[in-house]
Amino acid sequence: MKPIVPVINVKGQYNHLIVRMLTELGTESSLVPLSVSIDELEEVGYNGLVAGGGPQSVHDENSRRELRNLERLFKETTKPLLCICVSHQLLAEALGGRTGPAKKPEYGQITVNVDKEDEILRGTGPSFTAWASHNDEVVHIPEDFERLAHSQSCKVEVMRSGSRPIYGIQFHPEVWHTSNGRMIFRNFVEVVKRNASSGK
Amino acid sequence: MTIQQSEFDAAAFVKSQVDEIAQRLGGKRAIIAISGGVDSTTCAALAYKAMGKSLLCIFIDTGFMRLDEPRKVKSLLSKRPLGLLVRIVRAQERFMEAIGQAEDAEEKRKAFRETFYTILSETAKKENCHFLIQGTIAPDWIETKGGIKTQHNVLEQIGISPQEKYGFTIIEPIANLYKDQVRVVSRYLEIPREISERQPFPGPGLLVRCVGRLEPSKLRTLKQSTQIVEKHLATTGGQQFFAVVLDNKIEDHPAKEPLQKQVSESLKIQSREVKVNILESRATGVKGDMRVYGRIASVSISKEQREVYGWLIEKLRELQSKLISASPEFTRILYTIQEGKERAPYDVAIRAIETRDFMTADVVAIPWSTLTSIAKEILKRCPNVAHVYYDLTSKPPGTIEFE
Repeated sequence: MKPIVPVINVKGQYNHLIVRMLTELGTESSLVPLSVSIDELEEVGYNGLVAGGGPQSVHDENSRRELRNLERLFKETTKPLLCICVSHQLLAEALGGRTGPAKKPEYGQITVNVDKEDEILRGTGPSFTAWASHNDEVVHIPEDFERLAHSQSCKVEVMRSGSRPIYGIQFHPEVWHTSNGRMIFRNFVEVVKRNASSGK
Repeated sequence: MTIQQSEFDAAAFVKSQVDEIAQRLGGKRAIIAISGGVDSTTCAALAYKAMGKSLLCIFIDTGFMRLDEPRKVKSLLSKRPLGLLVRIVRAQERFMEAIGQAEDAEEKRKAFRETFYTILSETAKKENCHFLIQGTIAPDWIETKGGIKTQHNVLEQIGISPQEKYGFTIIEPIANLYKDQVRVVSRYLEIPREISERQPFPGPGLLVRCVGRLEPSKLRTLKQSTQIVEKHLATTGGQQFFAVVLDNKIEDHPAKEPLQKQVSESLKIQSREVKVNILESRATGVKGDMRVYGRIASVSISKEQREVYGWLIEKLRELQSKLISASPEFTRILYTIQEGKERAPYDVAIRAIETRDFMTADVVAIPWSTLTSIAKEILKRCPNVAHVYYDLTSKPPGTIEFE
């Protein structure tokens, strides 16, 4: 049975590429709206969740309001969760960390330095090329989180929760130009499969 | 809307689309505006399979096509196995008038779209066609929904009812495909390689490569430069390579000095050997998923250093990254290859990118000798060009096109 991994459409232009990637990796995936509820996700039997990027800024009042449901989902979900770009920033803020305007915003090619491969970055170390596009960044990771990668201009490129299978990625693993993007998604799908088979 | 993905089965796709088109049309006539591009040709081939002679193929000559393109396209599509009969509709003056003095990228695109659909609907009505078949693909509507640019064929997705406004229903057989998947389908349909492997060409054509205001001599320069660039880069140019014409107009801007300093530090050359200019024109970019209509900076290094530096792609790519990162309103960095007459009215930029799906793109490392050959030829053929540049900007932060 194929794992079911919906992608929350945070309205970024790359969200569809996440669906494409997940489908190519053998899951059943599709875009679901920002307003989706945990009940709706449980009804379709979701095994994992990905939240994509978007034009919002976590510091803007209107954006934050728009993302309120997403914040709730991050707190409530018990399944593996992968948050990309603005979702990664929202994840930080939702769980007690802090974000701010990027001191050195990144657009296009960056080099990601892997601090700890863990599950999500397995096989990607010691460093790799990625594609980024962000104006804000995570300044303080939430208390029980661990930093897994950084770049020269951005301290937190990848982070994970110490207690739950929740990961945040600042760059875009779903685009063609991120060299280990596919591997990262493959690793995430592994986490989803393992989690599902252990009955959670 | 779901996207067709993985284990992409061209045969199954073709069968299901042909069936669906035949079913939806129910024997009525349909019109398609073809451009010679792989998207519209693939749709025409699919539609022809479904409805044969009930399909009317027109080629609207907007005046923004490349040199000799309308004639070449008509001839190519009439050959077997396509055998499509194409009617050329001449509309150059109407488009020129509609664009008028508009300078802003979005304004020009919108004027183009209005005129295009008006002509299309006039022809459709005259020929009693109730349906319009269109080659919209996934990136087209993803980028318009995100407000990044107005794709001229995305009416329905952005809430403009074509039935109400123009009098027909739109069918988009390949709306769920990405470009690379469209090519798979076109090869399956045996569409000639000149079309199936052809690089994408914007809907509004050369209009969006004529940065700022439209002028006949500016457009002519662009067509000639385009021909030269395409000829030289046919084998090394990446997935997309083209020319852009801009006005040779610069302005005083506070970012000039700091940018100059950064270039000097970044490339480790003396600041007196570096010159940065801020152009008056604007170019589109995409930063953090938002559309930005920002500034263009041109970087010139002294002629002696230029030969030494020639083409150090890593250094220049890093440079572009640093400059834009430090200056939020900038979306484009142009690198000077060669200068023409100082007071000439126009500049030409060469653009060459490599990409899989056009959602992200990197700049091609074209050999310096090739770039200088192209520049020389452009300056020789077009005496009204003051500078020939190479565009160093990746996507993001720039978009592939300038407008």
